[in-house]
Amino acid sequence: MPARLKLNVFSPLPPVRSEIANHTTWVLPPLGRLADVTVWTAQEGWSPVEAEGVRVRRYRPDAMPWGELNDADATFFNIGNNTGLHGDIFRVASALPGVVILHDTVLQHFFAGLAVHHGWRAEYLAAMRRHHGPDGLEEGRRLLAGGVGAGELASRFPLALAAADRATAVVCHAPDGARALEARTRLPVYHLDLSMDLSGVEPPPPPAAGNGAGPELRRIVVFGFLGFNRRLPSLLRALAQMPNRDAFRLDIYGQVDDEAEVRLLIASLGITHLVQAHGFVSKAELDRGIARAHLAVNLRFPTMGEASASQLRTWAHALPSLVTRTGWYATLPEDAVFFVDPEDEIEGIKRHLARLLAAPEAFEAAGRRGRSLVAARHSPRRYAEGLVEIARQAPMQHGRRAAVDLARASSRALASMVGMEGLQRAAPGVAEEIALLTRPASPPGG
Amino acid sequence: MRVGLLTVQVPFVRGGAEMLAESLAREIRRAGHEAEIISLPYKWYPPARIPEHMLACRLVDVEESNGVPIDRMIGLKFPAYMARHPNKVLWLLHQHRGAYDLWNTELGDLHNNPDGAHVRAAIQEADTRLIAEARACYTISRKVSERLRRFCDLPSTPLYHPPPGAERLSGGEYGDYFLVPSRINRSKRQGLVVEALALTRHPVRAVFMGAADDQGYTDGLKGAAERGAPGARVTWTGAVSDEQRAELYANCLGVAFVPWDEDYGYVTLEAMLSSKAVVTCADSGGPLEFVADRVNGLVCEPSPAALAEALDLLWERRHVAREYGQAGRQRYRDMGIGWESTLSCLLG
Repeated sequence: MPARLKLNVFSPLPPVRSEIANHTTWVLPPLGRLADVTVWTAQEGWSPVEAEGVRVRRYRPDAMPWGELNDADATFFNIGNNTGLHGDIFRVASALPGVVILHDTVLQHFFAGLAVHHGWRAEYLAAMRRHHGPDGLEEGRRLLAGGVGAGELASRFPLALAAADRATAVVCHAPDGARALEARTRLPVYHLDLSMDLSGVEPPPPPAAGNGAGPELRRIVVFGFLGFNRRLPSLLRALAQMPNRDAFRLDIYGQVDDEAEVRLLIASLGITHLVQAHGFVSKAELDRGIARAHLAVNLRFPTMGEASASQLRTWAHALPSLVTRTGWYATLPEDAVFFVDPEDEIEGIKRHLARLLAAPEAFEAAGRRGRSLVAARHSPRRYAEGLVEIARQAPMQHGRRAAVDLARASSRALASMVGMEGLQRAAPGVAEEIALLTRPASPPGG
Repeated sequence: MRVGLLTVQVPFVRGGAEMLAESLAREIRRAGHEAEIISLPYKWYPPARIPEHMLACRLVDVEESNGVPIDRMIGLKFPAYMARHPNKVLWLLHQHRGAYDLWNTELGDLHNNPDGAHVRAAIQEADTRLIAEARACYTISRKVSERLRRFCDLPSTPLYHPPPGAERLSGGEYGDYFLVPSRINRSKRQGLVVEALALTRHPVRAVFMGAADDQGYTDGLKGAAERGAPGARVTWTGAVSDEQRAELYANCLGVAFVPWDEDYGYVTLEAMLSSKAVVTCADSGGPLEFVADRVNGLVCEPSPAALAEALDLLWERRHVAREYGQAGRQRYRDMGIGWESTLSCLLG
C-alpha cells in the first residue's frame, strides 16, 4: 500500500442543508493533507471546496467510471436517513465494495423512503426479511400497504446493516452503536468520534442574564431537523408547566415535522408569547441564535443510533445542554451535559429548568467542558486520521467481505444439497477453508 | 509415481495451457510414471465467480483417488493450484493477470467492474498465502517469476520446456513471407504487424496463422490489411493442422511475434527450432528471454515504423535472416531446453 493513499469519498456537499455535508466539508482539509481525495457527489452544484489534495467529481449512478473508482485504495460512503441526499450514494455502495459510514444506525426511514418513493419495494422487502426475519417481512408488507409508518417500525427493524450489504467495513460515530453492529456482522466495525470544526466558532463570554430578553430571562434553543423523536411537545409541556415560565424564552430553529400541530399545541398551552419559531435560517443566523442562548435542548427518543452534530455545535458555543439518557447521548460525560430520562421526561426537563434559574454557574461550567471535549476528541484532524487508518486496513476488509460472500454462496449450495441439518454440520469446515483463503497475510496494523 | 496435473479449463476453449498439460503428461508417462490431467471448469466473469472458483478448487480432494494415493500434484493454472495436497509442486503458467500486471490496462477487464478492486484483493491475498504452501514453486518463464516476485513477493524458479510438437519442427527454405503465428487477439498485437506492413519500403508479405479469439478484432485487422497492404501481401490461414504449421514455419523467411508482455510464447521456440529469425518488441515479455537482438532476431520498439524497418531489413538482406535463424536453432540447443531437466525438478 502506498505511503500516500488515494481515497474516494461519497457525500453530499454544501449548500445542501445537511449536517453530513457540513461534516464532510470540515474533514476534507485535514484529509487532503494526508491523502489524495476525490469527493463524489450527485449534486448539480456545490460550494467550492478549498482543500489541498481534494477534488470534487460529479457522478451519475447509472454511468459510473468504475475503473477510475477502482484506482483508489479505499472508498467511503456517507449514509444517513435522508433518502434524497443518500439514495444515489447507497446505489453506488450497493455495487462497489467500500467502507460505509453510518451517520444513523436506525435506517428504517431511509429504506422505507426508497421503497415508497423510489421503486425499491422488492429490495426493501428482501432486506426486511434478510435482516429481520419473517416478522420483518410481514411488517415491511404492512408498511408498503400503508398500514404502519416507518417511525413505528424503526426501533424493532432498524435495517442498519442493509446499508452495508456490499460493504467491506462499517464506521459508526457512537461507540455503543458500533458494539451493537459488531455483534451482528462479520465485517469490521469501527468507531470514530464525529467531528466539529471549531475554527469558525469563538468561545463566547458567559452570557449575561437576560441577553436582551429582560434581566432575569433565560433563553432556551432547539435546532436542527426536528422530527418526532426530538421531543418538542414534551419540552413545550414542561415549559408550560413551569411556575415561573415567563422567565424563559424558547427559540426554535430548523424544520419542524407536523409544524401545524406544534403551533396548535403552543397555542393551547398558552405559551405563544414565550416561543418563537424561526424556521430554517442561515448558518450565521443559527450561530447567533445559539450564541445568545443559555441552554440547548437536544433530546432524542427513540434515538436513530446517531452521534449528534447538533450536540457538537452546541458544545462549540460552550452552551450547556439537556440530552436524553439513551444511545450515544447516554455515553456523554456527566459533567458536560444534563440528562433527561425518557420515562421521566417532562418532570426531568422541569427540574433542569428550575436549576438553570437557581444555579446558572453549573450550567455554564458544563458548556465550557463540552467545548473542551470537542477540541480534544472531536477534531476533524482526528477524524481524518481515523479514516486513513481504516483505509490502510483495506486488504483485511476485502478479505473479510470475500469470506462473507463465499460463506453465503456456500451456504446456499449446501442448503440445496443437504438441507438445513446437514448444512449446520458442514458449516464449520467450510468456514475454516474460507478463513484460510481470505485471512490477511499479516494482522492489520501489524 | 502417480502424478496429478491440476489445471482449469474454460470449456470449449483450447490453447497453449491445454497443450502444455498434455505434453507434460505424455513426458511423465514416457519417464515411466503414471500421469493424469485433473481439469476443473473455470469462468472468470462476473468477477464474483472468481473467489467461488478459488474456494471450489480449495475444496477438491486430490490427495488420493480410488483408494490409491496421488504421490505428487503439479499445479499449473489459477486457481487450480489452490487445491490442497501434501506433496504439491507448482509450475505456474501464469496467475490471474487481470489482478496483477493487466490491472488498469486496456487488456484487463477486472478494474472496470464495480467489485474489481475487491476481487483483486481477494485473489492477491489467497495467492500470497496458498502459493507459498507448495513444497516448490516453478514457473514457465522468467517473466512469470518476475511478476510473482513483484506482486506477491514470492520466490520461484523458471523452467523452460520445449513447445508441443517440437520434434516435427525443422528448417526448410527461406521463403518470401513472414509467419505471424498465434491466436488472433489484442494481447498478441497482430494489429501492429498490419500497420507495419503498410509502412514497409518493400512489398513484404505476411501469413497470419491462428484461429480468431476475438472475431471483431480479427475482422478489423482484415479490413485494415486490405487497405494498407492490398493484394496478395497478407494471408489469413485460420487454424491449421500440425503438418501445415510445421511447413509454414519451415519455409518462412522469419517469424514476427510482437505480443504485449507474453508469459512465455511457444512461437519463439518454434521459430528457433525451425531455424528462423524472430522479430519481436522490447515490451513483448517472454520472447525476450530467448531472442538476442541482432544475434537470432531483431528486437524493436513497439511501433509500426520500427517494426516496418525490422521487416524491411530482413526482407532485403535474406542472408541475415538465414544467419539469425541458424543462430536461433543453435541457441535453443545451447539453452538445454528439454523435458528431462523440467521433469527432474517437478518430480524431484
